[in-house]
Amino acid sequence: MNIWRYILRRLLSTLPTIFGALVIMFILTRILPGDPVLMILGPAHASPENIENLRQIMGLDHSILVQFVRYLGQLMKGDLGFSWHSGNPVSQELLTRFPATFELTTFSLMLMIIFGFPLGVIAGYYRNKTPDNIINGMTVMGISMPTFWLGLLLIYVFFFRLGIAPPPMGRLSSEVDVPKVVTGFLLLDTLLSKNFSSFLSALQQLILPGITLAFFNLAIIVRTLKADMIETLREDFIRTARAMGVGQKRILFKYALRNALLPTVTMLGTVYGSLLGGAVLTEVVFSWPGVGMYAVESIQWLDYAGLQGFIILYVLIFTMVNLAVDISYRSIDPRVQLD
Amino acid sequence: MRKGMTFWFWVMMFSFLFTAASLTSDAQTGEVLRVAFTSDARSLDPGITTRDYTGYAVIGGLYDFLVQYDIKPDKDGTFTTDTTKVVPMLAERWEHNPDMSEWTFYLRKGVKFHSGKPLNAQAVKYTFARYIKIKSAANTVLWLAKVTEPGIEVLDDYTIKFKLQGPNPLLLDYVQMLNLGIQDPEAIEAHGGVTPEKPSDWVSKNDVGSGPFKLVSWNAGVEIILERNEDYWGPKPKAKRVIYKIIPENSTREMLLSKGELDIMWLTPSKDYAMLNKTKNLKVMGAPSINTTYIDMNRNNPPFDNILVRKALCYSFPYEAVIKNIFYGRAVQMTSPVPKGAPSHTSEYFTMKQDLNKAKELLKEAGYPNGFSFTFQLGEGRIANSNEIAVAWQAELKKIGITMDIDVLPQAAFLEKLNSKKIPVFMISWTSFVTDPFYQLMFLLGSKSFCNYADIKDANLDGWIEKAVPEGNREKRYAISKEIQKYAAEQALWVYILQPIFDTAMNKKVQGFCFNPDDQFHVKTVYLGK
Repeated sequence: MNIWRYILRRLLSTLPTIFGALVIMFILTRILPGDPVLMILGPAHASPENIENLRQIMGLDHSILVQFVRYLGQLMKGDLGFSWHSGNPVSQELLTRFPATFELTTFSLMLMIIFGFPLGVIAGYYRNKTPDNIINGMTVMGISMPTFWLGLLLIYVFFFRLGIAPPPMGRLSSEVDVPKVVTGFLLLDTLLSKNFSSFLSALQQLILPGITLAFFNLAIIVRTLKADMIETLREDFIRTARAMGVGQKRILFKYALRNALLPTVTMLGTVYGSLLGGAVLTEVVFSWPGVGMYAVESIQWLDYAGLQGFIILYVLIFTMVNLAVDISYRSIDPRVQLD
Repeated sequence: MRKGMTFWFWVMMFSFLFTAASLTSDAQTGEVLRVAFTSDARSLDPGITTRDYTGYAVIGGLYDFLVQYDIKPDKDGTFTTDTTKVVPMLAERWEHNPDMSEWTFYLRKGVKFHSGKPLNAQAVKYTFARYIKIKSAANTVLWLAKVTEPGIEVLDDYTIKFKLQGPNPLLLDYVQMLNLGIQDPEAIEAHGGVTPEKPSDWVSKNDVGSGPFKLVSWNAGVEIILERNEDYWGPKPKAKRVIYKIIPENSTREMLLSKGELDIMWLTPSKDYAMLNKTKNLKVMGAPSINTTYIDMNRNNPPFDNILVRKALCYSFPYEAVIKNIFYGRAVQMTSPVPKGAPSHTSEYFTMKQDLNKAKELLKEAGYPNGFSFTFQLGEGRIANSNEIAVAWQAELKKIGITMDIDVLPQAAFLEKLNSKKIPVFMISWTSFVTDPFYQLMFLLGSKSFCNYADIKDANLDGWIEKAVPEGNREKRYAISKEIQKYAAEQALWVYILQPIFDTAMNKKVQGFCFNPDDQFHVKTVYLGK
């Protein structure tokens, strides 16, 4: 099957998912107790006149059905609505905040792969021996340590005590120039504007939050990979390779890893997808202006349009990630057919 | 190959980490002041800003107001706002008719907006008319001030007259409020004009003021940068640049402050006061706030209609323990519906002390010898330590046989319930931007007020409030205020909890910090010294 047709079909198939998620979201937010109008006006300024007026402006004086149809009409025109708690159009909020989350998450995904794959392979190979036990201990620690706490600990050690990490204040040091926004991804934008010190700063800012996110999820990756490595290492073709005198490293990292990888890639996709939806706690600790913080604020402030926009983004993220995972199957394992 | 890559990765990573230190060391230029806030501003438009420390902190820098409260220097280089004295700002002088229903303001000449356009009487009229049309925070302020659009008359370019809907002796206190900053009509007209059909517009993201600071940039969720207005008509601030940093996590803020990456940390928790005050390069400035935190009881819900029950609840509350153990002494006892720090406040009617035996007796007398049960509702995350206070009270109530369930609601849900005026017992925290006692009393105890959340309908209170609000003679007003304070104690209207000491941790180099009873950050006087 043509790969482009496949991608197109997959993308089209997300439309019902988005619609379903929106319906649920729409009903849920409006059933939940709370009144966004009172949140905007604040207690001391919520005079009946102001309340009535704002309710009309926001269209909340209509039934849920009318509101929903209106929202869909807006969506058709590509308008995600207005996020009143931040005072910006939702599309603008998502466009400025998502790159921050995307950059951080992708960076930590790379860390997960760089560290997770070798660790998983080693743990599988040395099952129940010392290296496996050490790795096991590490991963248990990672998964049982709250990200919030780990983030603070890293800040305390590397910034506060040792003074080698930059201040945890967002994506860029205030000492360097902010590059012109082209892609929204600072690592790319700084390179495009050939500003090396800003690039360096952006990278430095990524390190601690990146590690925080990666450490927690590393356990999942290592454990999945380890289980499948153990299975794979028992397979006939590994024994054959060994019998033919193929080097240990080559067997482990070339033949075994590739065969054991599919479930781990699926797992990586899931982890990546959920992190892209915002790693809220990490964002809070590192003052990272990401989409997770925006989503939580939208919930707190009952910002309907903000929440709906976020849901659409989230569904799209998961679709794209799953798609990427499925396509990557084919390059990992040529036997896999896309259909 | 693979081994080589991993090796180089580590080399790169460590070199980046280590160069970081050299990049961030030379931040202390002295003319930049960095202030940490917990959340981003929601709007910079005075007309719609509410419950937003960051937004108000920006507005206080960008805008000028008709008048302002006097700022008095203290001995140690700090300042304190004196809310009993109004001094000129945009208006050089003013006058009113005998019953205070008509006010005329004579504006300063030569004041320019940041756009360079002159600030005149037409601009004042335009601004107030806009505020009324967009029906948000400032509309409520103007409505309370009895200002209507047809009542605003421009007499000449620099004279403006307000014909109020009735006498208002507090007009000056209203027009100094942060919600009534004067805006640049031409700038607004050039960017869409007045848009009452939108919840917020271009103005809420931009600078249309004439104040001592100009807006340089606003990077959502990261920082807001202000720069000194070099053409300012009045005293120029000493800080050249002020950066409001958005740092949501308290521990992160404290580490940044200790390391000198921030100069001021807004909202310093009581529990960290001692620790931060001991830190070598830091000081914590605290001033009593006029904020009142108290428990309100809805008398439409039995048994709270029974004065004996309300008194029993008052006697059951662990006043000292809450202030000492939960607030680490960084609060004072609230003693009256008129806060300490407001004119006419008196503690003389507050005789309450925790006395469980007395509470038990009162319950018995009220017909509840075995106690009763009720639900205590509070909003999440708005009042400092509210959950801890509730739990402490719960334990005390249990000792006198009362079972209290604690229901912590998200803010949006809590506000909705408050507004319905149907919650039997709840905790609330209130800060009046005007310290006159009747601003607070009218809001919280007047039967017509939309903020009288306990739905108190008391003919005595209403009578006093109606009489005092238009009363121009201060002595008379304050005498009535005292009567209400006495009555509130007799009726056991509220369980008075506390008035917090509003602490702000800052670098020792910070000079000119201004204490403000309304708990807002004042940017005009503060700067980073050598």
